[in-house]
Amino acid sequence: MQNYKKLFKNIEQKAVPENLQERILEHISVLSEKRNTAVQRVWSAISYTSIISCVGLAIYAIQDFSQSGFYQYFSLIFTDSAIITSHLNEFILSLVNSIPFFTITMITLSIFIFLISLKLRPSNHQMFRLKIS
Amino acid sequence: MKKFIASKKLRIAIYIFGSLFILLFTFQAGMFVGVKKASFYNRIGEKYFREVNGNTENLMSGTRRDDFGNNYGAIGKVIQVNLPQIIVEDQGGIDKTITVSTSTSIRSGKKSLSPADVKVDNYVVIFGPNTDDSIINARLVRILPHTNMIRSSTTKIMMKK
Repeated sequence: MQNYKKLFKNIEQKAVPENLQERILEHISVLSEKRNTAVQRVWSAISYTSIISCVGLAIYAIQDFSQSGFYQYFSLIFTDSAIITSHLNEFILSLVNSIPFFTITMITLSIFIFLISLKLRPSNHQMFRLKIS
Repeated sequence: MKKFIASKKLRIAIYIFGSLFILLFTFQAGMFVGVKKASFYNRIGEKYFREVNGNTENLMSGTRRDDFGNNYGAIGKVIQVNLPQIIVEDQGGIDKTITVSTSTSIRSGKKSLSPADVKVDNYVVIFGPNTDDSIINARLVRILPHTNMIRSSTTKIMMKK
C-alpha cells in the first residue's frame, strides 16, 4: 500500500485533452466511413457483375431460343391456329420442350442478385455512420 | 434511383424474381436428377444387350442432357421419305421418324398439301404425340422456306464442333 502511495505521488499528472471525446468519435466515424465505403464497393461490384452477366445471358438466350426451335413453334400460333386449337395439348408440350429453361434460370438469378445488391448496398445516409453533434 | 431503392416496388420485384428463381431451380434440379436416372437405366439396358450379344465393348457414348430433345415434335431437314414415314434430321442432329396419316395437316405457306408433296431436303416443323417406338405421329407438318432453317441448323452444328 505504501508503495502505491509512493508510486502515485511520483506519477506526473496529465490533464485530459479537452477535445479527446470529439477526436475519438471522429476517429470512429472515419473508420465507419471506410468500412461503409468498402461494403458499398463490394455491393457495387456485385451489381455491375450481375447486370453485365444478365446482358450477356440475354444475348445468349436470344440465340438459344432460335436454336431450340422455339420461334418456329411459336410462329405456328399465327399461321396454323385452327390446327393448334384442335391439338392444343401436343402443341403446348412441343412448345414447352423447346424453351431453354437453363438460360432463363440463369437470367432470373442474375436479375435477382442485381435487385438484392441494390437493396442491400448501403447509401451514404445509411448504416455505420456516426453523427458528431 | 434512390426513390426506387427505397420503394416497395423493389421489394416486390425481389420477391417475384426470388420465387421465380426457386421455381426454375427446382425444375432444373428435377431435370438433372431425371437425366441422371435415365442415363443410369439406359446404361443398364445397353450393358444387358451388349452381354447378350457377347460384345463387351461399349459402343454407346452414354446419355447426355443434350440428347433429350423435343419428343413432341421435330424441326429440321427431311432426309428420307418412305410414306407413311418420313425421317427428319432434327436441329440437335438426331434423326426422328415421323408418321404422317390422312389426319395430318401438311402446309406450306397458305396452301394445304398432301403427304406426297413432302420431299427430301424440305425444312419442316412438326408436332404431334409420340409412341412407345419413339415415332412421332405428326398432327401438323409445316414446310418452311429454306433460309429460315439453314441459318439456325448451321449455327447449331458449328457450335457442336
